[in-house]
Amino acid sequence: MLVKRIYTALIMLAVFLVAVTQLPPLMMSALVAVVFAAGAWEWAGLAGWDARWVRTVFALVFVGMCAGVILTYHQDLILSSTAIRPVLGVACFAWLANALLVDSYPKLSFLWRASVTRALIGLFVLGGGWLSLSYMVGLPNGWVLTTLFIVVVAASDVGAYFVGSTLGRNPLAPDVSPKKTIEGFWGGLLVVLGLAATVWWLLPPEYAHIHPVEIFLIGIFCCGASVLGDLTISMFKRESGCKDSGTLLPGHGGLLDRLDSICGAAPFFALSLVLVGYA
Amino acid sequence: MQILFSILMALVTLGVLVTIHEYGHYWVARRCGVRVLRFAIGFGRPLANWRGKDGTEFALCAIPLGGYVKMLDERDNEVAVTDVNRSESFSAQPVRNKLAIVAAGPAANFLLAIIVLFGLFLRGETGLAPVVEGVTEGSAAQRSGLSVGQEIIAVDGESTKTVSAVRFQLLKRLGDTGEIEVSVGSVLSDINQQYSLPITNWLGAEEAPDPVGALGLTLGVLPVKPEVGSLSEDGAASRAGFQVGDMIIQAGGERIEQWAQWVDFVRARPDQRFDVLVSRAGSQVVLSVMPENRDSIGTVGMGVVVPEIPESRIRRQSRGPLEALTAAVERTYSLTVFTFESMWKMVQGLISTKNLSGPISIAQIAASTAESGFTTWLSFLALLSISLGAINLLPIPVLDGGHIVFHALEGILGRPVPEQIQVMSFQVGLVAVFTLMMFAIYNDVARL
Repeated sequence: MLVKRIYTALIMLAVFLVAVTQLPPLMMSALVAVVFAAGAWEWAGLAGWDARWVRTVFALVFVGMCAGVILTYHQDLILSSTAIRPVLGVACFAWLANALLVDSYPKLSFLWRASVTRALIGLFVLGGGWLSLSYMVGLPNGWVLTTLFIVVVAASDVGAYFVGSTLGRNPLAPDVSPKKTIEGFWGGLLVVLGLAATVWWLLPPEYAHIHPVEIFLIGIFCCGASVLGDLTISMFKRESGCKDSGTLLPGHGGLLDRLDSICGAAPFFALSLVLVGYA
Repeated sequence: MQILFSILMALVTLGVLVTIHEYGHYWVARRCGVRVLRFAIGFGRPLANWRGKDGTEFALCAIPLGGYVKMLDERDNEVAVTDVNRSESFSAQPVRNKLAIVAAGPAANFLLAIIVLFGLFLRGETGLAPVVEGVTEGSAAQRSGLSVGQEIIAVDGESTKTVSAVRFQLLKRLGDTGEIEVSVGSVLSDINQQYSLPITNWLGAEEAPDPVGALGLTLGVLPVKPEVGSLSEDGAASRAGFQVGDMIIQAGGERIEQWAQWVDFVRARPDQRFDVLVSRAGSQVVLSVMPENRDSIGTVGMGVVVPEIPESRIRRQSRGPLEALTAAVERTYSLTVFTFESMWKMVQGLISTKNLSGPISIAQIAASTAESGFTTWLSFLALLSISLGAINLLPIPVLDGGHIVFHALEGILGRPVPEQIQVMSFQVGLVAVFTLMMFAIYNDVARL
C-alpha cells in the first residue's frame, strides 16, 4: 500500500514539474482547473449527490466558472493579479471561519448540512485553491513558487504521516478524523520549519527584504492551513458517510484527499506573498 | 518586518477592544447573579486557560475572530440546568437583566472610548490652525469666494479649531447633496463671513475620500521651500556636490519653487542625468546629478529642511476635568452618530461600500498610529472602540443588537420569541455578518 502510494506520488510530482516548468501560466491554470474539476466530481459525492449526471454537471459548472474567470481576467497570458488579490483575502477569511466549523464539529453542522450548501462550499474550496494556484503561477518565478508551495504541503503531509504513524497517540480532532494525531501535526510542522530554514538559506539577495521570521510564519500558517484543508474533507466525508472520496489515485484514496491540503493552504501562501511584499 | 509589527499591533488593538467588550457582558452578568461558564477571547480550542474564583473558565482561543462569554443557559446543554442552579441561568433572568447583560458589551466599548478621550483631552490637544493656504482654480471653494489667508472657524455651525476638526465635520457630509456652510474669521476684521459650498452626492463614489482637497482647499500645510536639509553620505546628491543649505532654483530647466516639486522631478528620473541650479551663500552654482534607480523610482539621498510651525498657527486646547469629561462624552456621541449615519448612507448607496474596512486595514492603521506615538494610537483605539460598539448594536441576529431586539420583543410579548424563529434569523444574521466581513476584507486587500 505504502509503495503504491509513493509511486503514485512520484508520478504526480513528475507530471506536475513538467507542466509547471513547460506550460505558460494561463495554460497551467487551465490544466489545474481540469484536475480540480475531477475533484469537483468527487465533491458532488460528498455533497450527497450520487447520480453520475449530477456529478458531471457539477464538475462542468466548476470548469465553466474557471473558464469564465480566465476569459474575463486574462492579460498577457496570465490572470490579472490585481483582480485575484482581494479574493485571496476573502478566501483566507472563509477558511478561518471554516476552522470554527471543523473545530466544533458536529455542533454547528446544522448550518451547512443541506446538499446545496455543501456543494457551494465545495465550489468555494476548490475555486479558492484554483485561483490561488493560478495567482502563484502568474507571478515572477511563478513555477519556483508553485513548486515550493507543493513541496511545503507535501512535506507537511509526509512528516505528519510518518511521525503520526510511529509516535501518534493523542487524536487531533477525534470527532472529525480518528487517524490524525497531535504528534503527527507537530511532525509535519517540524519538517516544514526545516524547509523554511532551507528557503531562507537559499533566498536570492533581491528578496533580502523578506524577514526570516516572515518565512517561518508563512511555513507555520501553510502547515496549519493544509491540516485544516485535510480535516475539512474528513469532516465532509464523515457527514456524508463515505471513507474515501474516490478511487482515482492508486494508494491515495480519492483525488480530493490530495487536493484538500493544497486548497486549504494555497490562499494563505498566496496572500502571504502579497503581504510580505513579494507580489 | 513591517507586516509583523502590523500583525502584532492588530492583535493588541483588537485584543484590548474584544476583551473590554466581553468584560462588559461578564461584569453585568455577574452582578445579576448569572453563572458565567466561559470567558473566551478568540473561538475554537483554547491555547491557554485558567479558572477564576467564581468558577468561570478564562480562555485564550486559537481562531481570532472575536470572543464570547458563555453563560449557564437552559437552551444549551453543556452544563445541565437543574432546580439548584436555575436561578443562576441566563434564561431565568427577568427581561431587563437580559437586556442589561447584552447591552453591556457595546456599553463597555463606549465607556472605554470616553475614558481614553477624557485622558487625551485632559492632557490637552494640539493641532494645526485651519488656515487656507491654497485654493484650487475652478474648485467649489474658489467659486464660493474663499481665499488664501482666511481661517475656518466653523463648518455647518460646528466650531472647528483645528484642521482635523474641519476634516471630521466635512466627512459627515459625504454622500450628501446640498450646501456645506463654512464660517471664516479674517485676520483683518473680527466679522465672521459665511460661505456656502454646493455639493451633489458628494464624493459618493470615492473609495478614499479627501474631503478638504475635494473642495479645492489646502489647509494648514505650510509651503516647504526646496532647501537641502540633509544628505546621505554616499547618495547621488552628495557625489554631485550638493551641500546642506543649498536652495534649489531650477532643475533640468524647470523652475522649482516648492520641495514637493523637486521630489516629483527626481522620482520621475531614475538613471537620467540633469543639471540643477542652486543658490549657495548668495551666489549661484550649477550641479549635475543622476538619481539612482530604486525600483524604477529616482532617488538622490537628500532630506528636507522641515519648516518650523509658527506658534500663531498652532491651536492648543486645554480643558479642566469637568470640561474634558463633557467633551469626551460629546465626542463619543458624535462619533457614534457619525458611524450610524455613514452606515445608513452606505445602505442607501449614497457613499461607496469601498469605505468599509476590515482587519487588514485596522492592522495597517494600528501600526502606523503606534509608530507616530502612544497618544495617536490611543485616539485610534477610541475611534475603533466606538465603531465596534456601534456595529454590535446593529439589529442583526448574532450581534448584540439582534439579541436586544429579541429580548425587547420578549418583554413586549411576555414570552420568548419562538426558538425556531430565533434559529432561522440567527442563520440569516450569520450569513449577513459573514458577507459583510468578506466585503470588508476584499476592500482591505484591494487597497494594499
